[in-house]
Amino acid sequence: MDTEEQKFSELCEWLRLKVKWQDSIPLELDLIENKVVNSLIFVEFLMMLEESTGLEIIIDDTLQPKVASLAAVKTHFFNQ
Amino acid sequence: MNTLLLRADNLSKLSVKKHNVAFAHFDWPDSIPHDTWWQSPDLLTPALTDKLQNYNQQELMELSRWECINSFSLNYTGELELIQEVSRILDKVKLDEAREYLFHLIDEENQHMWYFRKFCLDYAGKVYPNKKFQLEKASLTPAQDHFLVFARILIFEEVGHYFNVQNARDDRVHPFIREINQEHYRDESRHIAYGRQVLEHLAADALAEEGSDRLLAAQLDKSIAINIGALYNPAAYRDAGLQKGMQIRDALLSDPARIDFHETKLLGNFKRLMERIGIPLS
Ligand SMILES: [Fe+2]
Ligand SMILES: [Fe+2]
Repeated sequence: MDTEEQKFSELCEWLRLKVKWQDSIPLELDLIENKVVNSLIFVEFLMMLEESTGLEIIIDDTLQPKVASLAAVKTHFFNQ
Repeated sequence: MNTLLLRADNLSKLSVKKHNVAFAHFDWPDSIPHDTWWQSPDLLTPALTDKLQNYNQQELMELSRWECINSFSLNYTGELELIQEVSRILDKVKLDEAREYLFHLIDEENQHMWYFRKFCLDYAGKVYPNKKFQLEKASLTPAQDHFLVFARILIFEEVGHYFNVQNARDDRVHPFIREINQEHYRDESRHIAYGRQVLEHLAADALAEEGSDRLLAAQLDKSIAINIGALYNPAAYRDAGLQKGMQIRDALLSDPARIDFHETKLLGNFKRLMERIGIPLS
């Protein structure tokens, strides 16, 4: 079984490749405000997050702050 | 009466005549067996590709079950959004007397929502949550906004319509599921006829400003990608017992046979209409 840490880095790596960044995406960077992701990639990112955590993610008003940055994702969806 | 009014008036009459009220219409079976087709095998997302041979019949039937739940969930969440959007513009959109039909549209979609949601919960214990999401809010004139509401509805309905027709027609599919598809198909043919007329009617105002065609095209290209992408739900692959749902989704979404299927069978009518109206989709 992958550890939480491994799963989280795989998710970061998936996003990096998807948005074609050269270096790793800074954990604190606001992904939406800085237009790292568009709507389509954001939806796929949520799907990837579901696959990696086994959780079902509902899109509602409370979601945005929980997924605004990779650091926020780590806090809310991965046990440390 | 102009053609839009005449058509809308006839469609309203048909809705009144047909008013069978879905709440009492269906005979709901206690259960639906797993080892049957819940969706036409021709509609499975691996259909038409060489990935189909990776699965045996039992796995494909299980996949048909979860892809049926996915498409019924998309109907439910899409219809919910449709009602919200149509209600939002109901007394603002310039439709004159053809506005009358919107009350039937909302009424019928409300019934559809009820049976699609009930089906998912009764026979699978879940509805897949909405994954359609728009981050970027474009600034639009009211006329552009109203046009996009109806154009997005038409994309959603044309895609769903193809599924309804194929499932209703395919005698391998479980009879109750065929009946639901058939019933939905009947209402949706009226909605689609109305939607096409409305778009032609609203187009002139929506395209009045310089650059509107490209702005609307960009918005609609995004909506198309979201609607098509939603058919390939990694959670449905996982529920069907297939591992690495995201990989399956990526491989199928980029398969040339699937792209051709989207362009011709699902989007052909919509794209031809937009071309005629003067909106250059990609
Ligand atoms: Fe419907
Ligand atoms: Fe409809």
